[in-house]
Amino acid sequence: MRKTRSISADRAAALILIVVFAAYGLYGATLESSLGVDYIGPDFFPKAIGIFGVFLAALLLVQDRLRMSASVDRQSEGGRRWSAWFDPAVAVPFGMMLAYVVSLEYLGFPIASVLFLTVAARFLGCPGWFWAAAFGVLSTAAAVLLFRYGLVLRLPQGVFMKLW
Amino acid sequence: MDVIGPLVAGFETALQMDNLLYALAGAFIGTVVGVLPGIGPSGALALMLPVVLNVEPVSALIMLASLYAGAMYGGSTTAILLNVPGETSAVVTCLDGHAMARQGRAGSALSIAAIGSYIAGTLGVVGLMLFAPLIAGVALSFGPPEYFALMAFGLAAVVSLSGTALVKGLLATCAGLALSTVGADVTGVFRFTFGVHNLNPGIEFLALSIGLFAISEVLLSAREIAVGLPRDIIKHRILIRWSEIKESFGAIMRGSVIGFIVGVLPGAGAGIASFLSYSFETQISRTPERFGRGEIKGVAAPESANNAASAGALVPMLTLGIPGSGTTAILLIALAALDVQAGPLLFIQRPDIVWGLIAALYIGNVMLLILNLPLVGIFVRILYTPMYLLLPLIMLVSVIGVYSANQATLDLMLLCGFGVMGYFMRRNGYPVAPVILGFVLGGRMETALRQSMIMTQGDILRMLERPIVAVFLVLAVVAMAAPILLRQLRFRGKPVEIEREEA
Repeated sequence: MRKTRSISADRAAALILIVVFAAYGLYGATLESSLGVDYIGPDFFPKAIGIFGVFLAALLLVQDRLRMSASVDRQSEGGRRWSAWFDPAVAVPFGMMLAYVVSLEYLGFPIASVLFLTVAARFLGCPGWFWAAAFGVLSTAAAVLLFRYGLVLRLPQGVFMKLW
Repeated sequence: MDVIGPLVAGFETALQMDNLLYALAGAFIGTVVGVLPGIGPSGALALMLPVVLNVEPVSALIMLASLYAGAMYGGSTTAILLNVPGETSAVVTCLDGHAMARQGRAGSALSIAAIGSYIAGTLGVVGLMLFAPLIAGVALSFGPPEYFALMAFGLAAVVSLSGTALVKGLLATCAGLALSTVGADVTGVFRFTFGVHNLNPGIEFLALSIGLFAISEVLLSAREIAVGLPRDIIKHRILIRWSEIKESFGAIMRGSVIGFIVGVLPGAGAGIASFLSYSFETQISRTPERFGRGEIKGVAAPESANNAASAGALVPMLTLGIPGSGTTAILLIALAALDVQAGPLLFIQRPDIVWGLIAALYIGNVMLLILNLPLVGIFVRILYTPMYLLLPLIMLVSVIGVYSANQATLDLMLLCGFGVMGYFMRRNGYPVAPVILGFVLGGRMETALRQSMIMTQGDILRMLERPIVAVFLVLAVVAMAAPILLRQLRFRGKPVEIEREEA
């Protein structure tokens, strides 16, 4: 059986975190206050967290290396391949969420919510577009009544303001 | 100090029929509003202020006190059922509460949250009644060095929140600490905002907490549906067993004491109280590995702590006129609007207000129990909702809760981003609660450390000369090291199970 060389998820995370925390700490070290500081400036905490974060990420790398070297068959670690991080099964739900939040400011809360709830319910297994749409309309109406008029919370109005 | 006579007089006022109705209405509205993420106790009180100011002062306080108690409980309902923490104090409840719900024990989780809230709230009121002036004096001795040491002690909770994945837990805490540095610091420097004005006040807490918990849960569940993983239909038990109540009693008492003491400290808050209480329970437990997997004490302890903390927060408010939290700041506004001046003379000048409020807190806690225990069965039915309806609704409520904070689309984008971050963390065995812990404590630690360094003129060793600081720092080291050492001793020679969240 041909063994595939693959980076484990922990190792990929450790490498990414080393870069992220190092960048964070280095950028933080450049911060300075024009007012002058008493002992601890705006750079202190970012530097400290950056150093500690790099250390911990390196520790994670070492831990993963020790675990992998103890493993007899690398194929058995397939479930922890770094490619598990890019999961197509979650891309569509995430894309729907993102489209929903972006569209709120343009379409307004009622329209965007009806569309999102309908499409999401149908995608997740609601039997039929009619029932999904009914769910979308009724839930949005209840939310508007409760939050907008009951609790007087501000919700995105969208460009169709006069419909509010 | 004579308490019986004034307390009886307070009860005589509070037990009048119209005041009982105000208490019931307050507990009900508080629970409903507390359920909604983002509203929380301070939001609930702020919303009801215009309404209550038109009634008699004592009646207004009775309603606000019941609202307060109800809202504190309400936050635990969504945390347990939907893994949506609407406020800091509900974050820890998500860990074991939601795990219990997934095991069909949502009824037990909700019931113990109500019972623990009632007992702790009542004990907190007793503490308020008997020890308020004395404790207020002690609270005044807490300066920036003591607060820094308390926050450092609070960070020790990361050990209990991480299970066996300690390095991953510490990394998550670092991530939370890093996120807390985003925004303007006290010297006016904008850190890590990169020119985005909406980030100047910092990252919105709700976007982080709801994203990491609720949105990640939605993504995990959506993925299970998308790949066709079978979901067991779980039959939920509604009634809590007497053995579960007995088992939780110790945790409730300990949580009440910890919560009350922490709540008295201005600025400490119910969130820190719940983290500390949870951490303490895991460290004294003989079965710490059960925490995070549906251990009922993991719900009882933090829920008790946050209700006791809310009573504790009233101590500096009533005796010194210092609001210990955002919620007590709203209560102070209400008192001022009712022409009542909080402070050292309140007990002498307006005993009717003080003892009426204390009696109202007792009654509010009873109303909470009477109202919410029967509602457990109704709340549990939410879990029978098909996922294709429940998941979009969770997203809808999350969006409303986050948007209501600042009306900023950026917060909603962050909500989605943190949701993805939480998804990857949970899929790869990283605990998410430490991120919240680091975020909540980070800003306060930095501020306290800065102030301490100014006080001691840069000599950090002078901080250690303060006894409370030394005690807390030693406790912090012990709290972090002891579980690690005990785990090594316990598992010596045996393979350690690697924790991983896999759908």
